Amino acid sequence: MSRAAPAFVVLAILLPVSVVVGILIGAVPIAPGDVLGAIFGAGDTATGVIVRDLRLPRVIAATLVGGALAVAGTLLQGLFRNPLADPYVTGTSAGGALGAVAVIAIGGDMSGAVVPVAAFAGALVSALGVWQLSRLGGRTTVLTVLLAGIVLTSFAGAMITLLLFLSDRLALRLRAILDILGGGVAVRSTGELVVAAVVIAIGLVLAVVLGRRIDAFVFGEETAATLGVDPDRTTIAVIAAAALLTGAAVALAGLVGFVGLVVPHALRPIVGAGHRTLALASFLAGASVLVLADTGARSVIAPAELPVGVLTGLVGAPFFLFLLVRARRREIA
Amino acid sequence: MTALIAHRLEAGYGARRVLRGLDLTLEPGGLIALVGPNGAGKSTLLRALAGLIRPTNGGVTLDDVDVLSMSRAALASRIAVVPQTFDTLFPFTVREIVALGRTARLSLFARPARSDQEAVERAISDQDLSLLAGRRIDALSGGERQRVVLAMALAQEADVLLLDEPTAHLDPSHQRSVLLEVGELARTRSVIALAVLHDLNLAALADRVIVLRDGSLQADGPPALALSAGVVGQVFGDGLAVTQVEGRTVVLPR
Repeated sequence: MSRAAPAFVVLAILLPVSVVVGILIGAVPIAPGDVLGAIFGAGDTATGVIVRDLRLPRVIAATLVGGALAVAGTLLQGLFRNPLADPYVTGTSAGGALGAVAVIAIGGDMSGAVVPVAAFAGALVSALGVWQLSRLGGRTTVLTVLLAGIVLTSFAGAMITLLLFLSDRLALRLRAILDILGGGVAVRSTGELVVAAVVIAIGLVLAVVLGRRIDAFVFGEETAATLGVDPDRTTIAVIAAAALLTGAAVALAGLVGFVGLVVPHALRPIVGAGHRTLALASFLAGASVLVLADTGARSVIAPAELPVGVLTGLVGAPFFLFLLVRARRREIA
Repeated sequence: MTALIAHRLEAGYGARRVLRGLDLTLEPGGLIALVGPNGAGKSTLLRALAGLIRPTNGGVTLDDVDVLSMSRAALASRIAVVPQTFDTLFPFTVREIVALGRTARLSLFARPARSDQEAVERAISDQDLSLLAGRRIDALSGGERQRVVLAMALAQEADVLLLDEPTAHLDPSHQRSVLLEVGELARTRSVIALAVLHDLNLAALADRVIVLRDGSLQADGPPALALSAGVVGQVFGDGLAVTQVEGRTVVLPR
């Protein structure tokens, strides 16, 4: 923990600063004093609505989504021993999106736990699928994980398109589905936010508890077994935790790419490779990154808004390519 | 005294039979070398002894207990395996890797106890890694990483040490010193130490040599007997010559 301590201090300051920035900045300029007043219920009605009902829930949602994706990325990278894994490129997010779109298209209740549960189920099935596919050759390689992710993402994409054509309720719910596909943080109800917060908290605790066992996977499943870790049980637990985190993130924000990939990757040289420490640091950093990115997405073409997934994709995809090229150069992919 | 015993051990992958009814008793004291041509079943035997694969017939017992009936954690505190591959893209430090040897003894929440830290530091100094302890493992040479995984296995403080080609990444002088060191450890700490080796001349440094061919035992005894010209010719073909130099068995290509 010692070499990570300064990084935790910085991250612990960065997150509240990001949250404050996220609440202060928006399409409608509001003076900082009025924002503060509105949070505590003072001020005129319009300002109150903008701050309390629009900005605050959205900043909280971005905090949860960014943190959840970064921790899920940490778990998947550790499990696959692969710095190029994350919920997005492994198809876990796409599976979650398929689950969420499916229940929205068949008219499921969008305010409570229905969408998060469906997204979790879809993410779980996808992550288990990637795990099985990646073991086909007996040896998990970087590229088989990515190929399995492509297969699952394509399949989920085709199923979503099929649902869009078949559903007769879509005219009413197109906005919700576009938010999911484009990766826009959208809070449809306080209930959904609470459910997601609880699920993400469970996922984070699991990640911290499992951290040391994931470390034992560093030289493969067989060595993990000789070190005293049951590889299959641990793998299932890690995949379940990653699916909880991804499902909750997808329910709130749809397909936001590359946060889960870049954040643990960037933190590893600073806080070390131990997964317990890395998961905690990734939560703080991922939350800050997505709050700031979402604030940017709300501001760059104001009064219109970009889905934050567009922004993370524009920055994250070239970074991913850079990592892939470097991995190929070192002949490990 | 600890004993690791294979009883009529048969194992394989799918339809392929690799081990064909092997009986073997391993006891503490000195280095045991396991040799044989490619495909003879050396690694399969090592994995069966470590409880990593389920035999198709027969079994492996450690002090009369079937290894497959023990939990992973219980087994890890008795049997340590030095892995053959130890590449990683993650920047773990040497000390963090060695500490993985204590995984089985830690509960999910507890911090490492003093005994855990002492075991880690002892393994680090035994392997001469004190100066490298804070370095990242992905920045070390193959030979240095070999010593790190050996230290990781030593930190398990197990009664049985199984090594899968522990000398593959080492230069000749380190190959020799690592094997002599493991043999010394096996004698002084009463540990069963079995190493899969390719190089017959390194195997000749062991106290006992087990020769495997086609999943069956061909010879088992001190190097002079197990690596005699007759056995070597029968198992490895007639391309090798066996001679004695300074009282030690030496095998050379003809």
